[in-house]
Amino acid sequence: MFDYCEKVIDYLKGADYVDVRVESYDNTSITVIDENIQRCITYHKKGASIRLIKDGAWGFQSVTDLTQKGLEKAADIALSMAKAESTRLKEPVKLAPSKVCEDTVIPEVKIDFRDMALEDKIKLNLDWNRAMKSDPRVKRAITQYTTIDADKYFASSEGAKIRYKRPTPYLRLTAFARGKTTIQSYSENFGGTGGHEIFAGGNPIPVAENLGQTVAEVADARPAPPMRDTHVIFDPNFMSLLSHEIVGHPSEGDRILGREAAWAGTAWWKGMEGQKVGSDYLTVYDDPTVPGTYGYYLYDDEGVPARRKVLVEKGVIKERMHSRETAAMFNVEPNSGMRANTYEYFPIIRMSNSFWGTGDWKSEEVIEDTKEGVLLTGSRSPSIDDARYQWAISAQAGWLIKNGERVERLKNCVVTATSPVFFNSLDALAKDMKFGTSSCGKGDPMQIAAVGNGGPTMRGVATIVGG
Amino acid sequence: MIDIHERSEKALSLSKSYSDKAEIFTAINDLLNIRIANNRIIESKAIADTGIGIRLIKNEGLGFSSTTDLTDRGLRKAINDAATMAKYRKIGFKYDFPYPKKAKPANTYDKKTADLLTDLDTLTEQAHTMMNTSMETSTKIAENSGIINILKTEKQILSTNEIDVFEKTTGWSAFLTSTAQEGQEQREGMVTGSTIKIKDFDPEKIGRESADMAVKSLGGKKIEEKDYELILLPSAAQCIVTELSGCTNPPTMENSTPLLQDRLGEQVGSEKLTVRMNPRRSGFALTGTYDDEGVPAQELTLFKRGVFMASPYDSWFAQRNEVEGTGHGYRAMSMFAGGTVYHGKMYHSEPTPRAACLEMDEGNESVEEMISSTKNGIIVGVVWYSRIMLPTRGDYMAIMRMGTMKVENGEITGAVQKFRLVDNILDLARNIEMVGTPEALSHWHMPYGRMAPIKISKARCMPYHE
Repeated sequence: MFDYCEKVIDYLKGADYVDVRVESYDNTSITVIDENIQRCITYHKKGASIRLIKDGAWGFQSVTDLTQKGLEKAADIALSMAKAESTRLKEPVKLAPSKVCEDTVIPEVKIDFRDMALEDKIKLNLDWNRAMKSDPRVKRAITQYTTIDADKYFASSEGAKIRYKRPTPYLRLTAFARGKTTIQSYSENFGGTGGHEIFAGGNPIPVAENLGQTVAEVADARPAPPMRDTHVIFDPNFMSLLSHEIVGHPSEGDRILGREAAWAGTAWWKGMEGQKVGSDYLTVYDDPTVPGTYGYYLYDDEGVPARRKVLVEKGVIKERMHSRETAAMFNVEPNSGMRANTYEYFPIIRMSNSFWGTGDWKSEEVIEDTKEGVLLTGSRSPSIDDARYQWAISAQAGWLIKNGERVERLKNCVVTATSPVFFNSLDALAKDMKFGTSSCGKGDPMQIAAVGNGGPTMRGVATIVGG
Repeated sequence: MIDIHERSEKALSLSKSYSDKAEIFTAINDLLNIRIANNRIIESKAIADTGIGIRLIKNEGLGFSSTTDLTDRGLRKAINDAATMAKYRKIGFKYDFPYPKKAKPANTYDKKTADLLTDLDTLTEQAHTMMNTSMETSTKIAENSGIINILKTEKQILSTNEIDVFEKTTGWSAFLTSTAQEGQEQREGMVTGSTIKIKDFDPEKIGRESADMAVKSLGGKKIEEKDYELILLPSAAQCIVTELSGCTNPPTMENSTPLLQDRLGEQVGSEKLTVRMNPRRSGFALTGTYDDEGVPAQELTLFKRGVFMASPYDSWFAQRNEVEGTGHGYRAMSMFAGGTVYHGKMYHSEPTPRAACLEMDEGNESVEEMISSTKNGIIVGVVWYSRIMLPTRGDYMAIMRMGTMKVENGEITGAVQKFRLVDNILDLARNIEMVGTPEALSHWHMPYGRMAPIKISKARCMPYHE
């Protein structure tokens, strides 16, 4: 596949910079509902993207026609784009220098889905689906399973040559139970880079059984009462969405620069680097180098070697996520933040695994230390202000905490706060760190990235919108 | 250049020996995107994407596979994969692919729009016009960012049931967000546009109106937390209409948001609310003569005078539920990581029902009448992050992001800061008391086509707590 890259780079000798990504994807997707296979599909896609700078302007074309003629046509279009804009340029694009690497990355896989027959995958999905219904109160069980086997080649006119294989299995288990008044659902997600070992070590059946029991209890729980400015304790599954939405997104260099203002939004803490915006319990990282995670990679889609980024440390804003272009604008080194969904897309700045740092508490100690509040478990849906200043997130369920004990199960829990007030209220952080699994939409055309955000059990002050 | 009909014929012919029934969906997508930020074009990019989706019925099983490799070898592999899928995925009821029906061609293609895919100079010029008009509208405009997209698609559907549909579509989509600044205060305005024909694209109007909204929002005061009357202009009204309409989808109802489950025929909104799908006329992403199974696209009323009237169906969900199909099977965008999400024709998806190309019925009330009848309310221009937070009960939240103006005793009295709407979506729908004249309005990411301004008599609003 590097041949394709080299042909294009050679053809575009007149450009100031060229990178070419040639990628193939093999995907299998199975959905089981109540022990019936509702969906079972495969896709195979392969294509190339050509990104270049000519006279200070970007040009980009992706293509599925990998013939010499198809690639040359794509290269010509990319070049014509750059030329069209270069005559009106206010500022030429500059790229911060990055180490030029040649490497092959093949992640460790223990239980390899690529070696499994379809029949075996289906059987597993049926078993996992059945396990959710081991509690007779579960009325509907949905298993959504997808595997993507990606094979990516990156080469640049600077001499970079990187091959990166990326096997990513994903599993979502959802159980529904009907209570006295409403239907409730509860889900668990697994996803990562590797094989089926990502699914609870290869055996998610105990999780599925437990999920059925949980949703049945939640269905008959009391709706959360409204509680203004109360203690909220978030479990690691809730933290996955929280880290992503309220620290990860506003740390993206393009948002800080206003480059996403049109649609995604901006960042309220623009220009506040070095300032303290929260308590000492506010330490957040973005780290693509954690093996097995959903956001794992060792080179980003500009060929920049991956490393951990300290976004906030003990409440002080430290670092942003950057592309080579935004790194040049901030006068810092690029830090491997650029990813494209597939070859079809221009890379954009993305989170990999954004997660809260851990504390010294045991998760049970956080609860025991709470006089009154709500423990929120699992996340459902976010509604976030465009500057990420004010946020609301619904949990899958909750517990009313009184005098250090779980006294009552709650359903319909939505929590809201403004970020700086919430960050300053953080007063307990446990050590039960967990990476979650989610997909993040950003950009236009929109790109859906795999991200592995997370954190440990944490306590702060926020408002429960109940009723 | 790929001959889409020849490759589809070849795939159908190869499929026959592997299956009892076969359906071929082939698509060519060409997209051009210009991205604006910080008052300049920051990227121009294009996607050329061709692929084929193959659906087979074999021994009462249904299989699907797709590929971008359109060589005979690639097609054989995809067909073989689909046949393997069919072996294990038993349908469980009597299912057949649709049969052909003639339809009067809808207007889906504009050559001038398609020509822009290779006329970067013109498009670049229009992007600059949009930005410059915004800047010239007021000296208070500090920043502009936005997008222009041009899309051309071709789809070919063939089946052993003699479906033979070829359709070309074009579309443009643009939006601009202008930021006005006075001292430390910054406020935004946003205008979007999208149709089939590029002649409808007025970059000056978008630039001017976006800047106007931003400037008028300066000096906004914080609201108190309480119930207000809300006047939602069309681009804000769409959030409630699209969220509610999305709940009519059978798969949505069954698998994620059961809010309207078992409520067919029930009054779920006010008598002022009538919403229909009209894929022949409105919208952009899914407008067409035929749906993605080759069934003639047709009008479908989802809500009539507040009553939940119907769900959209593709052939699979219709036959499984033993109801009449409605011809609304679309190859959905894949929201899963690794999937493709731009608004081309998604060959790698099986058809699934989707509420799209939404139109509201004509109301009798003007925005002026809505304002004059309002004692204590707020006008909203643009809504952001609209979500049903609790899918079984319908608790709903959204940020009232732009164009937020206070109305007191029948008059606009000044701007208010953005705030959060916190209510139940069914209560909001029931409290719609006035509806205005719909206008053509669509957006790249949204399924609506013609939306009207609405007035909601009571909605819970929360300021940001500092």
